[in-house]
Amino acid sequence: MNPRTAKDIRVLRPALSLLLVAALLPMVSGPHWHEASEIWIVGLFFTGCLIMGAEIFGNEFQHNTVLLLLSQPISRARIWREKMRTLAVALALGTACVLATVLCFDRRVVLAEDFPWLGFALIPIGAFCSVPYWTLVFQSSLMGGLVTVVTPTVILGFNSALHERWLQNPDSLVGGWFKLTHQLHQLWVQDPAGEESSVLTILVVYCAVCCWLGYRKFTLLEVANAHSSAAGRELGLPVRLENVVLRPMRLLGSKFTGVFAVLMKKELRLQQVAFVGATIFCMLVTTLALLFATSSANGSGQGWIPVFIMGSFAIYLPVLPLVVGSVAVAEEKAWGVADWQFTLPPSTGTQWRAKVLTAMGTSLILGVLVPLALAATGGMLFGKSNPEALPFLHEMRDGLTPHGFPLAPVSTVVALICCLLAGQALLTSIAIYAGTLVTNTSRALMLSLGIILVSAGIIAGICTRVEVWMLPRQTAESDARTVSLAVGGGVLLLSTCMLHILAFWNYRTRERSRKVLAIQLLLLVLAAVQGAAAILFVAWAFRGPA
Amino acid sequence: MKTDTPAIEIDHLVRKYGRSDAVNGLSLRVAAGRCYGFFGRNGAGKTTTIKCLLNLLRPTAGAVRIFGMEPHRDEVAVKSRLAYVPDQVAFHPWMTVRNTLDYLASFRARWNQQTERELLGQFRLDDAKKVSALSKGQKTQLALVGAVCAEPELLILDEPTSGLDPIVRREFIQTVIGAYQDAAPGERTVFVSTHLITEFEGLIDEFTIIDNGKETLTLEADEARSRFQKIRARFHAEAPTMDFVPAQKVKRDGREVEITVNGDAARVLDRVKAMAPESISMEGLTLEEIFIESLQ
Repeated sequence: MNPRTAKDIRVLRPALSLLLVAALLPMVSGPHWHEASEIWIVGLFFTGCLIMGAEIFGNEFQHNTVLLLLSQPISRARIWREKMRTLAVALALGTACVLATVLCFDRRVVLAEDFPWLGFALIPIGAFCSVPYWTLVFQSSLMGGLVTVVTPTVILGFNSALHERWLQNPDSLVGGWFKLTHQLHQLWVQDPAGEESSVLTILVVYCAVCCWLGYRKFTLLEVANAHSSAAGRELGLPVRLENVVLRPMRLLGSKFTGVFAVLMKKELRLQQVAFVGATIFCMLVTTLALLFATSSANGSGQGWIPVFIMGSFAIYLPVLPLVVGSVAVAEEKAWGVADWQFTLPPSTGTQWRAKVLTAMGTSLILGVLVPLALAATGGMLFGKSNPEALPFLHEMRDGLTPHGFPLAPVSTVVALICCLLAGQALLTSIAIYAGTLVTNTSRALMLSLGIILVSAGIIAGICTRVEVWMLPRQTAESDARTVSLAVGGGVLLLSTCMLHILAFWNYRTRERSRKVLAIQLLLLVLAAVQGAAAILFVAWAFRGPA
Repeated sequence: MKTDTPAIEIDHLVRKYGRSDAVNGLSLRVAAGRCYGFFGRNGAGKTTTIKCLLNLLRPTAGAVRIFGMEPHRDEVAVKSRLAYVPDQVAFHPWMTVRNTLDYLASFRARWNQQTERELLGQFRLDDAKKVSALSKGQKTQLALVGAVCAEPELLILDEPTSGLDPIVRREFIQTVIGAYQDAAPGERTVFVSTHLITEFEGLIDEFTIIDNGKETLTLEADEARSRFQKIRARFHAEAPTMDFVPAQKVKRDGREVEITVNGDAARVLDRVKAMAPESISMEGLTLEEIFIESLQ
């Protein structure tokens, strides 16, 4: 085999294995957990396709080998063709395996009338066409993957908003677009309102444009320096903007000159990307809320806005702690300053404490307190006047203001917030632990996701196997909720502590034998089993009458 | 097969990064079969120039040609005839030395396996070892092996000896580059950007010094050595004032004086002799001294 193709196959192998795991799920799932396995199949399939699309070019940036590749006597068009051919074959192979096993072992799903065949097909096609382009634009697998998800979401959201406007006023200008797309697709998509056909048209056009742009981008790619890729570049603000934004912080920070304070300042600076992300999130949610309030006031309620607000929260809450934890340890490794840090006078323990304190503090403040404050403010301002349109804000207002406690008693609310904090801390700790094992932030994020997915799989597997979901349960008993939340919080804290011990071990020793890694893997599995045991205990303790 | 077409031709090259000029109107010409030194301080624009030659960056203005071809138009033809060793060598960490060389060979129509064996032995590189386990110097050695085994007509080296230990450095410069050029005299060109000018002293035929993206000095090495001379004189009493052209720099220290001369050293020597010194001597500057002198 051509060594270049062999190398590309080697790059795609880990992501392809995700697709093969997705293909195995229908075979190993029992008769009672079709729904659970279907979620996992879709999740693994989507993630695998996304990573494959990002890694085919992103890997070259990650290892700074793009310079080596582009200085070889072979045309860029040929390199592009070879890489895309390998990607196409890998995606087709993975998709075929998943489809084959689903058809053989979970036929019920695909035979359902509403099975989204087109949506299923668009995942590998989208991964093939759009992810390489975005990866080349940002010269990073991570950013490529993220933007690949965000861009079509924004485009389709905009399309949905236009569609809504059209439904309200069929004579509006945008109506032509939906009528046109409806005409184009009405033969194979029964969608009288025209939105689904417009979505398909947009996605097909988007994929084609991205594919062409990707080819063009690669053939004209410039490599300014070996560290122009994201591996050696900081994720953060442009220098000028940073100087303006950080001036007050620097003035404030100049008063703290102790060793620990200096380390904390360095760690806070390292977390710039998290602060930028939090600012964007706050601005986005505030803008959407204001937009919603304005549109409600003039009677043209926008149904898509609450969905977007919910979506923003749903993405922000789990992503922020993972980014904070990954950046805390892995970013310095990517820059090559991690080892140098160890040569500085502060002890490894001191450096670690500064790192973990900053990361956990940043994660809890930006990841829990800021969203809670935003939601509570939104609930108080807009929830009452729009209880139907923004049900979650209404709930939040009632839950967190002294006017009423639907989650009463207070102990339950406190337990819920503690659980939220513990969950956030656990996610951050997973990312910190992952960061101690790998050499850059994107890998740390990938590994964190892997740990979370596998742990959730273990927990779901155990719980489903003992049919915990089938147990009759009491409903809405506040005592049961409080105890359940307390047990859950305890388990989360225990797992967090264990992860920190392992992470510090890795950070201090820097070299890990296979034996140590095997022990750590075993401990992680035990932590997941412990989580499953907690869920089973709560379900058993508060089960209802048979 | 000797040809009049220059190996490298750069004509008023300009390359900007945003508002700053990395290279600003650089011109040079490298004849085939020569070992050409490309010297400059950090950030002078050496690597940017090299990347423009390789079509890794596109010039903002001006033109570059390799063997008479434009790299962005005839990319494959140009790169088939050259090999490049970057200043920061990077390979896929999971590959072994063997895998890496096979990977590099897969791009080439010609690959000298005997040279590969010899160089691997010379550098004591274990071809079963993973690249991630190699030191920085060993990775550079591997990149050099990969470049030389392709037997290109033009070898472009960007700080090739950084990270190499003194023994390997000397061995590489004298044996590898020397042997590479001697294998086909007059046909193989080396374009080397380096700070370690002394190491390449005996090999460099011609050189260009750049500063702030502009050419400061281009000379044949031999001509430079004869043009840049250092005259040392010792007087019976305190050394007299000497502010005559073409003396570039005069350093007085009590009874001794050291004059650096840029051209027409004989005339300066005669004038110093006329001052009846106790002793007088003259010697050519090394390339490194010329580099320092021309940038100070």
